[in-house]
Amino acid sequence: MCSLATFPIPAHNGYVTVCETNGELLAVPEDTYDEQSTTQSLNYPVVTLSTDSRRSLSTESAKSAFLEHKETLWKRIMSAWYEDGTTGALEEVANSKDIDMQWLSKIACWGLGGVRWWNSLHGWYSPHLVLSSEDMTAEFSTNRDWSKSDIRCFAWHPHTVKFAVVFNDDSIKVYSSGQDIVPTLKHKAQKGVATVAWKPLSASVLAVACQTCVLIWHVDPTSLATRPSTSSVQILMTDGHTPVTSLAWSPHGDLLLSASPADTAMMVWDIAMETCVPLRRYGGGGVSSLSWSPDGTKVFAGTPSSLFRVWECQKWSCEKWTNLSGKCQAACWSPDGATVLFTTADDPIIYSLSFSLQLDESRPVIGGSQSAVSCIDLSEVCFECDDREVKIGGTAKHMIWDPTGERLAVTFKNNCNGSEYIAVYRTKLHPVLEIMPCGFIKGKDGELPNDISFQNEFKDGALLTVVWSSGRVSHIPLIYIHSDQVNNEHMHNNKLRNGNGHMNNTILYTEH
Amino acid sequence: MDSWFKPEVFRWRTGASIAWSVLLLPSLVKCMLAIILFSPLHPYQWILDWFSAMFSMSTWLYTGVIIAVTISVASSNASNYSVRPVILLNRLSIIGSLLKPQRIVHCLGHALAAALTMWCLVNIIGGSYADLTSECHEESEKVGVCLNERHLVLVLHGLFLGAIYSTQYYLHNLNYLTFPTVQQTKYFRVRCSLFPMLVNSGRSVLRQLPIFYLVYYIFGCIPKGWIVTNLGLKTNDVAVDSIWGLLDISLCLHLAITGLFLHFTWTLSVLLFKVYNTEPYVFPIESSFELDKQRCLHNALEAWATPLIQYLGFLDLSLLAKYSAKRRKEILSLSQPGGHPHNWNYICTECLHTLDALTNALLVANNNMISSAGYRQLSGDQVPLQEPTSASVSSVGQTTYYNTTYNTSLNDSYGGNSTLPGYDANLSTKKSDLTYRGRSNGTLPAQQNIFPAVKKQSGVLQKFLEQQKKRPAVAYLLDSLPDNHSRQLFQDAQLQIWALQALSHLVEASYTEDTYGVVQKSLPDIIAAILTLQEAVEKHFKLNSRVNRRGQGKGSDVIDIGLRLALKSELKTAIYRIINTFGTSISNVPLSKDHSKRLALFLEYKE
Repeated sequence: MCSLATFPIPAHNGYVTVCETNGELLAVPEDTYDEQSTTQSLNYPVVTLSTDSRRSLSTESAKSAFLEHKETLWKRIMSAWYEDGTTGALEEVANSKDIDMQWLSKIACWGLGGVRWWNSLHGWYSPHLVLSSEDMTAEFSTNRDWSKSDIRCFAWHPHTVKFAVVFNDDSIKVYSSGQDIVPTLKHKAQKGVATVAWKPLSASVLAVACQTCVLIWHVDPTSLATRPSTSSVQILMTDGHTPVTSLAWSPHGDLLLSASPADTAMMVWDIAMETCVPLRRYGGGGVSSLSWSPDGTKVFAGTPSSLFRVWECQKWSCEKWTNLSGKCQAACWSPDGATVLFTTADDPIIYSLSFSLQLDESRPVIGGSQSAVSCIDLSEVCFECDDREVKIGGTAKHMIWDPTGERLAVTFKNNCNGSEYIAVYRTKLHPVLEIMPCGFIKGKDGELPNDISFQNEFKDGALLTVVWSSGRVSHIPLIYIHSDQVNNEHMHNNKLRNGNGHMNNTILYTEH
Repeated sequence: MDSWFKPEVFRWRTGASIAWSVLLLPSLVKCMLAIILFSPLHPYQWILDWFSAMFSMSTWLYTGVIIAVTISVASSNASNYSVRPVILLNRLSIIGSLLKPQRIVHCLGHALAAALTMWCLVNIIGGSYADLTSECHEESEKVGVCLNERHLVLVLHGLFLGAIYSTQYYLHNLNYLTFPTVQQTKYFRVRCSLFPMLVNSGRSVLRQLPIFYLVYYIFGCIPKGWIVTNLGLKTNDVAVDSIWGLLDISLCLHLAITGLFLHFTWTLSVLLFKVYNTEPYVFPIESSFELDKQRCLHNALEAWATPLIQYLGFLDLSLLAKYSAKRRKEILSLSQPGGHPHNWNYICTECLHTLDALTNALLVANNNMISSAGYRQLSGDQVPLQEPTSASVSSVGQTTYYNTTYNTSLNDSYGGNSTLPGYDANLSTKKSDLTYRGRSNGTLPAQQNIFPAVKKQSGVLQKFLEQQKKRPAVAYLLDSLPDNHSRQLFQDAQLQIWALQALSHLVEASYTEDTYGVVQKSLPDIIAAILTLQEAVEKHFKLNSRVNRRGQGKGSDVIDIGLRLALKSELKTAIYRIINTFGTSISNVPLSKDHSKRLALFLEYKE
């Protein structure tokens, strides 16, 4: 088991991590650090926060343009009921912040939970159902501070240098390299965006998980429009499937999965036909996280309670793992789809679960091993650095594996020590899963990593993009040679395709 | 192909679906009984009544009758299904299609079946509705035998529902087999659509109930009077077709619940039929036995005469391309002896033919649209494509329907303008090949005899129609519905989607699995075919602004409109899949200049 104690000492105060070269993470002093110089060499577009993007627009409605007036709660409930029906009225009461109405808001929360329970035919009552939609999205979003952070989420395009950034006002901007036009996507239904995902094998399709629906944007890369019209958006909506907090595209690019913590079914969408097939299994009280294995054969579905399922994508049968120490917090697949790493909300441990290869093709099986093996220990460790003690460790918030399966990045929860660091591990898949420490990534002083993601096709290794709590987006290249190319005897044909790691460089790289 | 498929696959599948709907019936009857007998104030009495009703001999006998009726209704599904949506061009042909003798028989049969089912249900429920007659009492004195009008109303409601069901069955294309997005097991497919179906049935029955009341209020006296006079009965003091009679809540509840039962059991049998028959069927890729030579996958792919086999064949092909490395290996293998890639050649040509057929049809349609753009303003909606449809409407079978429109539109274009823009020599040779195949497949010679006759008539008819069209009422009926031409072009788009998926996945797999380089040889053809189709589809979408819009309707209306959008996105996905596999080395594949230019755009992810 890999422990944090074996890590190199984290960067000193006043230092910022810029990249990984020669097997170690390189940090430079903050005053000499220039954001432009690192991104310039990559020629990536720079995300800038405009002043008005910080002002939250979506939380204001047309009502707030008028003078403030004392509308009785009863009136507000009535108008909400006209607009959004029973759930809307309950939501309105639940959100009311009157001190003397606390008890009423509690009742409304329970009522809301009851409606959700009925809508999705839960087997039993789960505590998260009484949260209001907004709180539920914040709870299950991968972002550390979803409701307050300037950038809510970040998504790399799977094939080109293009990414989508969701701002706090729920507007989305699409940046692509070599293009000055930055289209801004706004829509009436685009509220409470929990996550966005680009469709694989497509240049332009972006799925957005909103509070009430899933929006599919078609962002034409050749168009000169900065505000694509609503004619280029599709709205996918079904009853009881709100708020949508996670999305997963099939790597074949034909299906989209969406999930809501309040709905026991996850939806398989055929985008063009706008039809969905609910995949419902009882127990678990909803589906809070989804991740499709890169080889497209399996889907990991975490629930808000202590169980998770792994689906097989041919006949869509599932296996479930129960008796976790808490709800599944984060999960990620190895590129070959044979291993999944996951962590729970209460334990500072990352577990690995391996899957056997399919032998009989007519009968698809999941073939997961009976129990998970703990492989990374995240418990708190004390480092001596700068004549002071730095404590790092705790439960993980989010965890991602780079597309080549060589680097693993883990962020910590808010209440943990050292939540300003990102722990990076080296991983090796063949012949057996091996996990070794690489180092800590640190931002500027006082910055916390809110969201992290890997670019899909980066030639010289992996590129980690971090959204910091200050609203800064930094790209951190991790430069290494793929272990398959180093150990020639383990050369695999399918790995060659990724074209990672060029040997033409004369610098010697260390390989652990 | 059909000779073995029908008895060995289709009948078994249909039989299994009917068996399941029969097995579910008794429990459904029990549920309905429990609901109808439910009285909240006397729960003990309710359970007692329920048990006595459940285990009485008569209940079982009547359930037997209902089962027999359901079997006949369910087996009518087997002769009325269609795998491609039927799109009619104008309102007159829609009305005409409902008046076909076959449809009228279907309607009458269903109405009678529904009435019979309802009669059985009423008898199972028992109580005051059980008999057609009841004893009349006047001031507590027995006067004679009266008509029990409530019984009559319930049975007539069945008749009404049956007729409506049959009309909707055709109008909303309930007979259209939609293939599922994901291949779940049958149990889960049925389970996930069971509850929405129940809600749907309830909705449609409740929507039709007021209409039934209205109809009965107006015309109810006719059957009532007929029965009363023929059987010499007396009438009750409160007639149902009076205002007071209509306000009978208990009767209303009985109508709704029995109606729901009827609608639900019938739609359930349709659902089961669809679930069983759209299940993937595994065709062998090659066979060394003489008997099985006709059952191979490539035979299924070219079975234009029986679309269900063709659809299942393409579905199987796309699934194997995605999931089964073992079967892909069989396709990419070489023949022994000889070393020819026969399997791949058969499958690849068949897929390319399917794509080219649509490409050609689209090129013709696009060309017509451009040329008639000015002409249309003068003389209504006179697109030359319309001509063959008069023949296709009158053609009897649904299976032949497609061939007529498809091939005649091609034939027309050969006679007229052989030099269409966008055609290259390569394409037109393939095209003639295609028509040759079309003619050889048996159904066509008969149709070719039809056409001269139609054309002779059309000369005289044309003038007459031209005059009539000026009248607004006639024009309303005869003018083609906007967009339906385009929908007709794309009615088989599902096949093209599967062909694209299969080709692109096979090409993707060939990168690692194709040891003999079998796929490499046909790679230029595949890419060219996909690019040409993509261009034609894009152009069609540009010319026809309606195509991008989605219908607001329900059922298959949306499905076939969605199909062309699905095809459009699948085309791009297929190109990207091929490009993603080969990377920049794809530019070494010999292609025409236009195609390489388009491919370059895709390589930069600019499409």
